[in-house]
Parts: sequence; C-alpha cells; structure tokens
Amino acid sequence: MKAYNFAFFDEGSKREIRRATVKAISIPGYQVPFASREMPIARGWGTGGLQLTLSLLGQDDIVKVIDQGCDESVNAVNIKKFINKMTGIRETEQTATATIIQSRHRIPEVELRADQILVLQVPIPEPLREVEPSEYITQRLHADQEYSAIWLMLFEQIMKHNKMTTGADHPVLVHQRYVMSPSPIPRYDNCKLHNSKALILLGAGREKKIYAIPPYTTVQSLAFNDYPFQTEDFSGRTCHLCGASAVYFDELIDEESGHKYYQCNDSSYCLQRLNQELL
Amino acid sequence: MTIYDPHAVQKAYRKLIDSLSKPGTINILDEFRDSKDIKIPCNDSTYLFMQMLLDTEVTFHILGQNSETISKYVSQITYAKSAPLHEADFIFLLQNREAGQLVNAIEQCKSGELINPHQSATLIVEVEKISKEEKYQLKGPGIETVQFMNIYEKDNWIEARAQKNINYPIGIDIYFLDPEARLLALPRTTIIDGLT
Repeated sequence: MKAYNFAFFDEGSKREIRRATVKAISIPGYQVPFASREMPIARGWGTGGLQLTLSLLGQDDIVKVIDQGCDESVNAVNIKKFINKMTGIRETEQTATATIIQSRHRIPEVELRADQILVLQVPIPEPLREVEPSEYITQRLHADQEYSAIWLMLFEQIMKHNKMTTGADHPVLVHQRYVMSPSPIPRYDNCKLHNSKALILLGAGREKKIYAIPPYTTVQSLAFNDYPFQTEDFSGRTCHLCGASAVYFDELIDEESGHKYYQCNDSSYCLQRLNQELL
Repeated sequence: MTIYDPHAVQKAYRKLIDSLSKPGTINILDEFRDSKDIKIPCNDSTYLFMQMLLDTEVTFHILGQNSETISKYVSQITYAKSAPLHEADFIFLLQNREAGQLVNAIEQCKSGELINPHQSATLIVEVEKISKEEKYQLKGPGIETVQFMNIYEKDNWIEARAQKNINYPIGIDIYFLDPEARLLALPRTTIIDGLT
C-alpha cells in the first residue's frame, strides 16, 4: 500500500517506540512510558502489541499472530491482515516458522527459540493497580521496591479461599527487582517466562507502556513458602482431537449430554499434531 | 543510497536488540559499510545509530575531534539538539577522542532516578576492536551461563561503569562499535569480571 510508509508508522514514531524498547530490555520488568500512537484498531484490542510488532518488522520477517491460542480468531486475523497490507511480509500459523509472534493471552506450546521474538498484548501493565489506583503512587512504590500491598492481596486470597485466586495475570518478580504483570496469560504459561530462550516484549497501548523480559532472565511467580505457586491442573486429561496431554486445554461442554471434554488451546499446535508434524 | 534508508535502520535496530538482549553477542552491521553519502569522521555504523536513535525528542553529545562542527551537522540531519554531557540522552564517543574521555563521560552522564530509571544516558562508543577473546566474563540477564568478550580500549572504563551501575535500576547502557562494524551492547544489568 503505497500511501503508507513501510509498517504503517512514520519513521519518527518507530524511532520513539524503538528507544522505549531498548530501555525496556535494559531494565527487565520496568514499564517504560511511550507515546502510543492512534491505531486503526481500538485501544484495548492489541494496539500496544501491534505498535511493538510494527516497530520490529522488516522485509524478511515471518509473522504469526494468535489470540487466546488461536490463529483464526477475528482479532488475530484482522491484525495479520493489517500487518500484511502495511508490509507485504509472509504470515504463518506455525510457531517454529515465525520470526515474530504477537500474542494475546497465551505463550505457544512449542518452545520458542533464541532467534524469535514474542510480543504480548497487555491490557493492564501495572501489577499494583488492583491495590493502588494512583499511577503517581505506583511509580513510587516500584521505585522503593515496596510491594507489601500485592503480597497482602495474595495473603487475603489465601485467607478467604485457601489458595491464590489470581487466575490469569498472576504477578511475577523479574530479575529480583520489579514486580511485573505478565499480561493475562494463564498461570500455566508463567513458567515459560523464566529463562525463556526468546526475547519477550510486552506492549500496553491504552496505558502507554512497554516492558520486556530478556532471554535467560529470572522470572518468579509470587508465592509463599507454605502456599507455593500452582499452575492449572490438567492431569489425566487429553485433547479430544489430537490426544495431547500436559498442554493448556480449553474446557468444552457437550450441550446435549452435559459431558465435559478438552481441546488444545493452542490451535496451531493441535493442527500440527493432527497433521503429524509434531509427533 | 539515500540519506535515510528505513530498511537499513530496521535491520540495524534488530541487531541492536539481539546484542542488547543477549549481552556478549557480537552482531556485524556489514550491510551498512560505505553506505553513507554524508562524510563525517565516524564509523558508518555510528552514523546509522544516529539515524536510528536521534530526533527532535532527544538530545545528544559528541566527544571527539571537531565535535562542535560534527554536532551541528548531526543536528541538521536528525533535528536533535546538542546538550551538555551531563544532560544528553545519547553520547557518541568517536574513536579520535582524547584519552580519559570515556571514563569522564561515564562519570558525568545522567543515570536516571529510581522513579524514572529509563531517563538515563546511553553511550555509543567507537573502539579499536571488539572480539570474543576471553578477557572479560559477562553474567546477568540475557546470558545462560557466562559470555566472554574483549574490547580494545585504552581507558579503564570497566570500574567506572561498575560504579555508575552500582545502584540498579539506576545506571547506563553502553553500545560498542568498531571499524569492522561489529556491535556489542552492555545493558546496565550485565556484570563484568576481568579474567587474569
């Protein structure tokens, strides 16, 4: 599309996002503010991730976009179409083929490599937001490494429910300095952040923040000695399509019989297994 | 070759990200050799970094011979403003600088505050040679076990950098470039140990 610069943005916008990104890589887990441009999709629909992706993309890249593990959901397809219109680069659904993977709320099942970059879309980048509404104050809490409120939040969950009830977006401690929101990935995916081989970039368009986890960085999910961090339990369950076990599942219910069954949440992983590419 | 090639800058940016996220990794910006059509006395890769990082939003400082003349030139090309050493966002140290200027720049440049650690200076330093010789051992985020490097530089900058970065997350990030277009980046999190 000749009316636009390569990758949609003018070079000044790319430069500003790139400057924020290199600072984010240098200070793992720290939220670097950036200008966050108006995008042709609404804020809250992946504009932070999309801005990061567009600032990274080159003519030789192969991009994969997933939404809740699915390559074919409306959000993922629209973002892919937009990227393709603005760059003309190749798309893929196979995790191993992609050079840049933009994802909403999942980390792919196939382990990422050192030459890949994972871009996560983030709705609320501030892990302390639930306990402190003021941005002015949360900045100072991060500066002082004062995280007692978030520990108290987890403690209260244990007191009420006898377990931590964070579900997705369980806070993590990065490089033993910053408490960070990992974006609303399931707890199952938190472990993949620790010592990841791939660079992980997180972008929040509405909240105007970029942050990062470099490869081989210590990422610990917040937990107590007597209440260790627990991932979702899928033991004894298998995918009704490909037979996979020990992956993150969607729980489905047969409306007629009321019977529960399970399916791989990562649709390309499931498809590749069905096509016997990953067996 | 035009004055600004967005694809060349994008490739250089990806190599910078690779070197910065995996300290000790040397990338070669070889596609950019002899690519500039504006002659200023710096490496081609340094000029490319100026294009990648500088615009009206940031300030810079150049240390080297004829730095005032070069600064005016860089301002005209990038629209970025020159600033004193202790205020500049990006500090470019050219290879023809005087001895001691690298250590002085590390000591004098801004290192951010606890609330805004990203408001620190980034140093882009031209050195004689960058290699994987096992003179220095690197540890920290981005490194699985250890990495090794050697940077041929007369100034004793290792100790000055360690002092500057002692109160993490406050600190500075340094990108090294050599005449063979090698790039090595050291974020503030990397710990350097000298090997005997």
